[in-house]
Amino acid sequence: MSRNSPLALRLNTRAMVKTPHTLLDPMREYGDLVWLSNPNRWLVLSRSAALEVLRDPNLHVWTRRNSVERLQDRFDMDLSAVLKALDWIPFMHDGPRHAALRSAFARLLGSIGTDYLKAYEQTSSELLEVMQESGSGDFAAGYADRLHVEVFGHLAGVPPSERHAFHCATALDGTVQAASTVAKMQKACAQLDSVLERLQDLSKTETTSDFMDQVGAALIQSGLEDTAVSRSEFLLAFLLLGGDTQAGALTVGLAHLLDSNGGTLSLGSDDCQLPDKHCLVDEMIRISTPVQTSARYATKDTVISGQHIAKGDAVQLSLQAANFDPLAFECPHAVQSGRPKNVAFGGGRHLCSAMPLVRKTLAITLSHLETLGSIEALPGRTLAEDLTVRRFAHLPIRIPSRL
Amino acid sequence: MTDIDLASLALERLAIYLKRPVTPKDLELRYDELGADSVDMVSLAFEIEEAMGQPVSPEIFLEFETVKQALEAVASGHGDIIG
Ligand code: HEM
Repeated sequence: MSRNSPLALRLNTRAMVKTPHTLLDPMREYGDLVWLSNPNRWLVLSRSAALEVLRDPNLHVWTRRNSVERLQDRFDMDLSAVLKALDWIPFMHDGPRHAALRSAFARLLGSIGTDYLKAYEQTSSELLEVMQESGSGDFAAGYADRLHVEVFGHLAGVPPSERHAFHCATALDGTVQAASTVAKMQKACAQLDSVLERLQDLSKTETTSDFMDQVGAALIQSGLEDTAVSRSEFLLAFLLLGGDTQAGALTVGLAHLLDSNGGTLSLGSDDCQLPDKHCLVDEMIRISTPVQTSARYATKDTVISGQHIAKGDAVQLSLQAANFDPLAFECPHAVQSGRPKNVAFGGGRHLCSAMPLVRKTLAITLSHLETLGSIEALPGRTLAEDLTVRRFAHLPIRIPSRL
Repeated sequence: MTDIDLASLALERLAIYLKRPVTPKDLELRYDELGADSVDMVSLAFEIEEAMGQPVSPEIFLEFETVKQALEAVASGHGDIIG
């Protein structure tokens, strides 16, 4: 498809999150990547083209800093908390800043991995126990949404009574990572300021865990400054990156398993036809593909899937479309083993630093769900108002008691 | 606020963002054809939101063929719920 194609394909971001396949599947007939007339950019639809884009050194990430600064100047308002968060998110950077941030995340995730998993295991059991006792619950709001912040709270020594406030203040529906309304950004800034303040306090106080020392070590070893301020900003990015994404994989993944099994799921039962746990984790991640898109721009002319991409062109990857590419994933909506690697975690130099950890956390959740016996879907599902990470805000389930 | 007022507001604000005169005919173009970018889109949505006192999502400018159509949708109260 050429850049001057007479087809006027538009990208309705909200429809892309609500009904991604209805919107994206018909576009496939025009090629692996299509030119959108509004907004002006390439949209990548196939897995092979997505991998080419992710590995292309001439395609760099979009940074949102300039846009937020322009808005700040235009309306004379303080959006500095959003800017601080952006400064610490690795996929908002390329070059030396990216290398340093990527190293810091890799080091921190490496050193806290075992403790993170232990805390996840404990939190997951506790939250599911509450649901089991009452016979039903909201798997999104009562479980998936809470895990990352609860685990962080365990590690950083945040008292349990304070963790809910942390969760509320960092549940921003993608306002930091993607274009949002100015009003939402202002609200997010107020929330982020309070989180940053609290994180700074935590960085200064002696905690019973050595988590803060590990944070400091990760920063220093990556050539970054280690101060209470840098710790708090780094940890803010840690909180923002892990919460909604894991919640998306858990809620959309579980909803799909329930729906494809007639609304009732009995993991571990003899008549359960699902693949083994490792494949199931990968399929939950592929089918949910929480991060909807990833954007790049060409710093030099390049070629993707035989298509010339001119310097300055914007390229948007639909990770969702790539993970449902029928040429790579036969019967893409079916949960199957033996699939090729999917692109839900991105790829190339910006591949998600937490991929191995997330695979393990999802496996823990599946083991815990297995012990519940059967789970039934209840009505009342709603998608979150988030255009960057697709997830359910509410996913009611019933856990029938075992006689 | 009527849609005519919205059009006037859009013309005035776009002229400032784009640093050139913007005519009613320009509103029959797509947002990017006007030479506006995502920051302008977010800004205009914000200005309309402030003027109308109701939420307006910047995506509205991607969901309609022309700026005029998007403004009409906002004027009829669909600024935040279309899609
Ligand atoms: C199911 C859960 C998750 C999914 C699907 C996911 C997905 C992604 C994707 C698609 C990217 C690449 C973005 C791009 O290239 O534009 C990314 C990057 C990243 N993710 Fe995740 N993520 C998940 C969980 C987490 C968690 C729990 C953390 C840790 C707190 C985390 C930390 C990161 C970091 C640090 C990067 C930046 C890598 C870089 O730019 O070098 N992610 N993630």
